[in-house]
Amino acid sequence: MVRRRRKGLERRIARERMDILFELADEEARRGNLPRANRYVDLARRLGMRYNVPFPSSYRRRYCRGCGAFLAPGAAATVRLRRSRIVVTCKACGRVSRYPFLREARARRRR
Amino acid sequence: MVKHELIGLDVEVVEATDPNQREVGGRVVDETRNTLLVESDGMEVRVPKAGNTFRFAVGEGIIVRGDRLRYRPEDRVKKAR
Repeated sequence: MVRRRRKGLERRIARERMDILFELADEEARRGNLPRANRYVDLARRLGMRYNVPFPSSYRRRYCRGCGAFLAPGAAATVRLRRSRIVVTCKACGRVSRYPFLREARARRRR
Repeated sequence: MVKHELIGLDVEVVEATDPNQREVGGRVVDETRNTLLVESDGMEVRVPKAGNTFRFAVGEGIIVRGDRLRYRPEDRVKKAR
């Protein structure tokens, strides 16, 4: 008989594991072990891709879109505010991510 | 259990094909398809999953035969049972 896969359950487990891995990555990064933090991000990404699970929103900006490195502000990434945008530069590959915060900027202009 | 995240858990090798590894215990820091990397007393030991039995510190402690874990970490959710 064909063994049915329980995708809902698989996704739930994957999501939980991704959360754990990101927490651990954060911990390792604080301890200064960046290679290990990057390894955990890599494992979490693989889980996400394998089971089609989006990244937990709280961690979406914590890794580099270009090379997958864990972005610890200061140690692995530069974070700057420029012209109503958060600009994050990955120190490993140089990839720049810009996140606009238009709503807040507009509110300021109105004042 | 066999589908869950092993990295970060405390583990103890209960039975091993290599007598030197029988006493290994510590925290799992990395995992490959065939091995666990365990950090114990500041040292990192790579323990093969095959043929060994582990006790993971979850609740009262869960004993798992390593052969059931022999998949890539991201495949384990799908394949292990």
